[in-house]
Amino acid sequence: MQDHHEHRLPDCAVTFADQLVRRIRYRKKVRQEVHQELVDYFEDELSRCNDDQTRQERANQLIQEFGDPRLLAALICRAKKRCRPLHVRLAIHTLQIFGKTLVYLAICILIHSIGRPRFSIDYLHYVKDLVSAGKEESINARRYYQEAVALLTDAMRWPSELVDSSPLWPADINEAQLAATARLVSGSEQALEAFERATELPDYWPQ
Amino acid sequence: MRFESQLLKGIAPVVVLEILSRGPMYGYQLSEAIQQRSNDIITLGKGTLYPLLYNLEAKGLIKGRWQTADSGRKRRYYSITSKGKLELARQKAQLEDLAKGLDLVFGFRPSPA
Repeated sequence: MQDHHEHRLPDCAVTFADQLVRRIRYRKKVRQEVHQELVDYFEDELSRCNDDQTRQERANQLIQEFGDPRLLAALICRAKKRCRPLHVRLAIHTLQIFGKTLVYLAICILIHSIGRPRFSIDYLHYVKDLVSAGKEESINARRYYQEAVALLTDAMRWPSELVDSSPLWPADINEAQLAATARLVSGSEQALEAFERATELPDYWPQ
Repeated sequence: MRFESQLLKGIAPVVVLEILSRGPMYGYQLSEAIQQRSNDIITLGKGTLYPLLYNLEAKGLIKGRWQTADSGRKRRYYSITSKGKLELARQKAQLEDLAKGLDLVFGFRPSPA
């Protein structure tokens, strides 16, 4: 949209128009149109001046009157964006929301992947307090379960017959496996007794 | 005369619409016309003119179009739309009422006996 008339303008006017338009963050075509309108304005105003010095002085005066190019660029940009048709504005807003959601998700994923979890509430403690409130330790089955687990760990040697193949159904157990299971049970009597005592108590809560 | 910016902000759009209702004009022409028609009382700041025109265009009150002038130069002429005419009529009625009220309060013009 620039034409030959622009070359007759004082340098300061051309620089002002260029600077202002460069600061408008918008489509190139619109920026060119705004540039042309500004140049036209300067030309019309300066066409009244007879000599170069007056033109220069008036151009400087006009630049002062136009004010801060950054502010003017922002105002023009905002107004030009409002000129967009409704469907374009709708599409832009949709894309912006989509983009912001993507950025938010990316930040969340980043935080979750590189961050370390922090527990602000100890739910185990909370549940324990809830369950054990007003109850005596004597009805807690915890100590028998712990005893049973300790005895079982010490006593239990898993028979090789059961290690090699563990049948899914009782009907599939062969004689050797049955004998091995019986040996395992008889060798863990103390542990099983401790389990039995634990199941007789009505409650359980962790330490 | 330099008005308070808020005062000018309120009347500038209606002044522009009124001037454009007399025919299409380009930016400089419009700025000059406002000054002439108001006897230099109302002057739109240079930095106000184009943002104001673009805002009015965004609201659909005026329409800008590139046209070749008699001199052979391309100019962006602004003309009032039908929506702009309606808005102008509405705002003019309001301004008339306001002017009457101000006359009565300040006694700018003596009421006819």
